[in-house]
Amino acid sequence: MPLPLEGVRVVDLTIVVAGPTATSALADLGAEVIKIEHVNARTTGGARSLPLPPGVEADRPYNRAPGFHELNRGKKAIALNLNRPEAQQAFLGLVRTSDVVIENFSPRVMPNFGFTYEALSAIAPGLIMVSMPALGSTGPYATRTGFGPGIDAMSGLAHLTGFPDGPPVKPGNILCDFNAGMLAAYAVMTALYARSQTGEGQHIELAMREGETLLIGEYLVDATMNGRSPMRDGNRHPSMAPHNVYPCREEDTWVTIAVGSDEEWARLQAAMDDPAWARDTRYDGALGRWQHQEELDRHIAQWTRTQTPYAVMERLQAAGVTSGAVLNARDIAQDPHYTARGFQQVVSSPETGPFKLVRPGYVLSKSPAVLHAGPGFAEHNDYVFRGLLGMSDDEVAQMEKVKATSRRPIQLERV
Amino acid sequence: MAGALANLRVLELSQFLAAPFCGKLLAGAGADVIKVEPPATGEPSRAMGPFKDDLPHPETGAAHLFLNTGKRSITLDPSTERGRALLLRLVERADILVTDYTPQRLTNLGLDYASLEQINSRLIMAPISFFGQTGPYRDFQASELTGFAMSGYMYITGHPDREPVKAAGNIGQYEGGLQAAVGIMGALLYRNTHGVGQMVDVSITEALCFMTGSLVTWLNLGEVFKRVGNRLPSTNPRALYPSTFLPCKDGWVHAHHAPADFTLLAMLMEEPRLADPEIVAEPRGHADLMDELCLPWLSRYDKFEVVERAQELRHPFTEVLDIPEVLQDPQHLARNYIVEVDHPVAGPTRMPGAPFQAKGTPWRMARAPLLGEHNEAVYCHELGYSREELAPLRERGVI
Repeated sequence: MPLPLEGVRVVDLTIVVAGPTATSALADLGAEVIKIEHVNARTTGGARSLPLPPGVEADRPYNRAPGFHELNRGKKAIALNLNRPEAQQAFLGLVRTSDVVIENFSPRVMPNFGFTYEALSAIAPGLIMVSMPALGSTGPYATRTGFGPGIDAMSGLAHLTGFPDGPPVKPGNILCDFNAGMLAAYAVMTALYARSQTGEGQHIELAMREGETLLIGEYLVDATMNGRSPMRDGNRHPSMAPHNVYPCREEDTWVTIAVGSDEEWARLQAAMDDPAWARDTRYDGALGRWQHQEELDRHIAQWTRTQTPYAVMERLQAAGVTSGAVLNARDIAQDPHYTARGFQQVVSSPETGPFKLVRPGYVLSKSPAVLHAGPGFAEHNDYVFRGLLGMSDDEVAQMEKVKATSRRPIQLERV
Repeated sequence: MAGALANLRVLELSQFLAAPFCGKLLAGAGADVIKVEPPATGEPSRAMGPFKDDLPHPETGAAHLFLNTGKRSITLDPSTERGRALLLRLVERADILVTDYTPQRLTNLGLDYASLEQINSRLIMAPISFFGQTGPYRDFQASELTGFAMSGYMYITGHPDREPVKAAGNIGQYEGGLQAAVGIMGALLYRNTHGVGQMVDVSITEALCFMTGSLVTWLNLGEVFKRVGNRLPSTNPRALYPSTFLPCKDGWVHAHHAPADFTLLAMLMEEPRLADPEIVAEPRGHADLMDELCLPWLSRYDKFEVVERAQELRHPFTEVLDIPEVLQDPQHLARNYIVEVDHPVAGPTRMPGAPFQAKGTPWRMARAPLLGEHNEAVYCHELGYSREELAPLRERGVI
């Protein structure tokens, strides 16, 4: 089945998580993504040295880490040492045949190589280039270095997450990176669409923090409109109650319940077998429940504590009450709903054998993504150097000799 | 300069916040996004607080003002016969329909993709829901809290000694809306080549689960991520540390190691024990001790001083900013990221502007529309109804 981005070539210089998330989303949609890795295989942000499955022999471990494949699904890979002029020439040759260049170095790196948008678009008219600095290439913090959780801190998101009597909390696992990656994929495709209408390429800068502060826009509006400083509030809701997470039978198992109306409250009462405490008239009406939510929570926790999360959820959903089991990764792997929707897919590569990846949250009905494993280190050197760039055997051998490229990771002597 | 998606027509039907966030991204990129709202009340997000001066009003909710920038608003009741007919006329002319009506509601209204595809084969329809358009939980009742619970996101957010906690606000729905926008763009580029539209089925719980990274880890490494507070998920004792939030004199900072240089960290914190060989050998294994050794120095300085000193020694510390601090942030001010948007009822407010700077196709920021503000423009000027024809429709609650 044809895919949406067939015929689009992306030169991927990105490292760590945010950039690779963007380019793997483009690869899922059919783009030819060519990942450029340093000859020492280390500058991919460590993805090639992520943990290996238990029992796996360490032969070429850098081709085997599931975390690497997760972030580099469906890409091709070449190795370049961009400090060598031969490698720079190869990079520029590749850019000449490409539609998109994407990078997430700190802002000084690309200009230091002379790889500005002006220079690259001069040799590749219509080029779309995306840069993903942490805080932006301009402004007083342009030179600050930043990592995902540090950006969660500066975006305002961490201050608003967690309990009011506890510390600020970073949500999940590098939310900032995944969010910026998805935003960058969106940005690339809006630019591709615009180019299909006008023929013009462009440079896009996506500062990761700016992409994340977008997620809390309503708090900024509230703060300016009402002159106050919004505070984190755990799992509570500004008007709904009960609205919380409740303990279940086994250790560290939980279920959420959220009641949005008097009718839903009545349904919850019935589903709990109409306990006497719930008939208290102080719980009549949304305001009453909200004002007495702490004791309401204690009563409900007594009821959930003897059950499993799934049992509570299924009973409440059947009764028309909003409830969800707090699932962990093991639960999700076995969950019938995720399974029915094909959320996991088995992929394979020569050195890993079959293993499992998961897709993003969207499925296109006529051109659904088929996930693929990521590339081995330098796996596509021949495809790019000989195929796309038409280099001779001697030229490729020369590049290898001066360590401008390599077929296996090498350590360079410090200059 | 025109926006990237100029001339694209988008219809937005929403009952939650995922479709409005997706529509905001499309409107920002230049598409003509028409919100189709229930007459009289408007869409449910208009009833969401906080409001200006905490007085409920359909035009002054903070979420509404933020989510609906750059859009137009018409009123229409799709459950009436005339309303449905009007909506179908709009669908005929639309490129994209984004909605977070529940799957059941779409079916009940006859607005499922199979029906709309008959009217407009080029239509891209993106229904966003908590569980997607198929599967056993399709019709579960859900909210932001449910999405965080069932995606595995909540299980890994918070501290091990407390219950799981959701992320702030409505971020689960916004991530669903963002991933919908990615899928929509894929479908649009597919249509460029192949001439047909398609459905983009978006699940908020899947969107969030994808963002945990934890499922791939469990499936292939047999490790279940748990809540680790603000530290990194790996508990390998040799992993580098610190990477966590620590308290300082007036708040919190994110403390992060420089690449493996503990002498500098010891110098920064004026605490030589931070460079002890046992700590250097197993930093993550000594995380509690390292936190303790950092606290005395941190308690002497405010967060901006701590970060300034740390950054001077190339340690990527950052401040945990509260919202007034975000609004005053010098980097945001220098980059004009926060923009002021005036509104006839709510007055001027400040909010995030462009999420990315597209140098060739500028982002569009314009105030949220009043309820039904564009009825005449859409029904009269674009669909060709006369004002006289609209009056009875208004009286009967069709629009």
